[in-house]
Amino acid sequence: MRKFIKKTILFLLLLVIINLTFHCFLTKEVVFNKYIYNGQNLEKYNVFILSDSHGEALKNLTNQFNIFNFSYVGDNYQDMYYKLLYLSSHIDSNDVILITVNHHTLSKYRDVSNNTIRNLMYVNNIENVFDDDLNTEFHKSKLFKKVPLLVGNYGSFYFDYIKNHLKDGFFDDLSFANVPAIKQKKQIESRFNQQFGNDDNSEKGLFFLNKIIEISKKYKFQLKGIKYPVSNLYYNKIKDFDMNAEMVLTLNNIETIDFQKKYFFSDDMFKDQDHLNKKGAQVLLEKLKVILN
Amino acid sequence: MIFNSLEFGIFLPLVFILYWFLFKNKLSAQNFLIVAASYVFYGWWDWRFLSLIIFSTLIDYFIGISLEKEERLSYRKLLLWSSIFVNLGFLGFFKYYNFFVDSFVDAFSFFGYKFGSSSLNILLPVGISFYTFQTLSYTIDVYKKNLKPTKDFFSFVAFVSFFPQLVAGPIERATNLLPQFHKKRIFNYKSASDGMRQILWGLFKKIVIADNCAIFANQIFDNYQDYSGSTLLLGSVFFALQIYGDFSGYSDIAIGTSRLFGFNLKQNFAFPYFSRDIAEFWRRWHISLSTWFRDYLYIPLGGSKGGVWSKIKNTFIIFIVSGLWHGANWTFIFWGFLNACYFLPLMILNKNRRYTDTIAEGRLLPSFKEFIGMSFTFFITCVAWIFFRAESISIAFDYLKRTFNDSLFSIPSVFPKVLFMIIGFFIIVEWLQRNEQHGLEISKNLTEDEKDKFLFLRWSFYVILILMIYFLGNFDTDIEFIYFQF
Repeated sequence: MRKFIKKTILFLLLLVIINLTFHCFLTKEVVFNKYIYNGQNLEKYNVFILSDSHGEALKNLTNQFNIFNFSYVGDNYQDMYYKLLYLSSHIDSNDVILITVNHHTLSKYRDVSNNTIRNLMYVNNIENVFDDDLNTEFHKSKLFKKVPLLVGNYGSFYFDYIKNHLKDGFFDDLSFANVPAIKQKKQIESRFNQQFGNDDNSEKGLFFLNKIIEISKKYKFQLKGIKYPVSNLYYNKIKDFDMNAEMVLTLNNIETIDFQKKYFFSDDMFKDQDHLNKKGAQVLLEKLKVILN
Repeated sequence: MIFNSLEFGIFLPLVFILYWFLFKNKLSAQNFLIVAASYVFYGWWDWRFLSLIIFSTLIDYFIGISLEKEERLSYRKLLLWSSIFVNLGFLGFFKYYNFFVDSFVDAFSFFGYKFGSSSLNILLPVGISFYTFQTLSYTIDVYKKNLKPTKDFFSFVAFVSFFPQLVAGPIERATNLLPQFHKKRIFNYKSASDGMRQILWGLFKKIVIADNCAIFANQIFDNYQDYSGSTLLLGSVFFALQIYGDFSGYSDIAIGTSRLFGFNLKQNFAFPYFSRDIAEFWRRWHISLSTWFRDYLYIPLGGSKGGVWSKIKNTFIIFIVSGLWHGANWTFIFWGFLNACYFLPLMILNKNRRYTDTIAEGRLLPSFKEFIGMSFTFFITCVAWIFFRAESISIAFDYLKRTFNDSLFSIPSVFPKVLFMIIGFFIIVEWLQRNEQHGLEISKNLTEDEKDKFLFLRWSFYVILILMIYFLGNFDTDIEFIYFQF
């Protein structure tokens, strides 16, 4: 028995050491630094982008324009709200916050496909209105930062982090113009069904978009909407299906920078039907710089 | 309480400490602790169903004692049939009532008679098929005088409700497990540390292999009309790996946990996908159930004695009943029927015991013939799993029709590269360990010195496995063990 206990304790100690290594060297990196593209010196920026995959497509090209890109694939307004709360304690009033208001951003599919569990790590308390399990997840997220190995289902964050790094930049030079017409049509149909399969607006999305407006007013941030361009084919498909996130901002006297109607982006500036590639991202950021100045 | 939960992570060390430190020298107290722990473990799902286990236990305990006292054959038979009636009665009501009522209504509707369906909203108690078969084996063995009935009540209650194997097996025989409750348990370092390794391998199989394959198997089976033949074939392979990882993973954790408490349960899976024909597969898959049916159904029916027709009849009975044991659905019955069809040619040609050794014995790789046999057996097993997994027999046939057409040779539209790498790693480890009891068992040929020499390597491998579970595991709490529903 003594030998068994001794070896079990030794093995557990080994796991504690691994846990400490994760805690000290990796968790912070995964949660705060590389998950967002620009590093952690938030103070040097005065423009911040909060978006889903459309903003994430701009990657770290935003650096050269002194813009902090805090976007991630699948983020919904609840995620952006938590991130804004985190930013509010690190940045100055009068800083510009650009929030995505594309046609689909108030779609119900974002209630399911999002990053809420991991974005809970950015906040110290939560307002739980919609999810029964959110309080448990909130406490688990706190535990994760200290004892990562104990919170099993958070291990995938490290794995996603490694995966994203491996493929980072790999697909940025793809061009939608080179995709055969039949495949383009198929891709567009599938994307449309995903984003607009349900006609109803997301109550949760609307609630948190209003919270974003409220918190921006409170901290005196300059909140602006941003509507990312999509390919012409996809625009023709979705133009009558706007979930009206932009209108919510307009009703609150907040302007939106619309890259869909006022600017032209050719198909070779997209990597697929609705995400910019590297070339498109560069063009958008140059235009954005002019607009913001 | 499920094995891959935080609750069990707290429960197990707690019971272990009480068992070996507080009740170390008191056998009856240790048995009582096992009973209490088992009831907590089971009641965690739904405490109301504890009454079923308690009732079943009481019936078989007293029938066992009465069988010993009673010498008249007619009364002994009456006692045996009382036990069978009560145990199978519960099982039949909770598991099969709706199935038989609905099938009866459908059959009469087919001939133009109309009946209102009288299905009931019945909740299936977890693991009822497992503990029912375990208690039945006790009564039958006592009736046949293969076993003396126990008078130690708590030993018997502990035997029926032993928490590691209560809800999903292995289905233990009273002749193997019950005597272990009567003997003083002495902590055995080798057995306990091997138990820990077996638990780790079981968790890997369940959380990394089964639960990740489940994502793709569910996606493909639920939307099978949208996929090409190659993707559908891949879907059946994912399900084959899911059910193996899930069920054999549970068995590994159950056996490993038992060893921590000084008990030895029988091996339930012996690397079945490395079988060279379907007969070998059935000697290696869910061994505790196959041998139960063999001893308590096949042999009493006459087994392989008698003429060809008798053999065919008995083979079909055993496979179809085995299918029905898995669930109240025609898909399971057809799955059993299909396996009987696979098995029959081997039995008629007297080739069903060709392979009783391990594949590629003493070699690293299988011969070409072995490889072909193994691949073919895996292929026909995957085809049978389609019936096991599909919602209905017609859907399963439609699935097969869509699989075997020109699109079978297209590139699959679902191609999870990371999962393929993990599966590759898993197959290599299982292949190298195919002569052992489980994927992490240290070869018996190694001396203690040799074992210590490789300590660093072994521990590094365990750490890698733990990290793989952590990084690559699917911790979705909605995915329970598949066999809980049986």
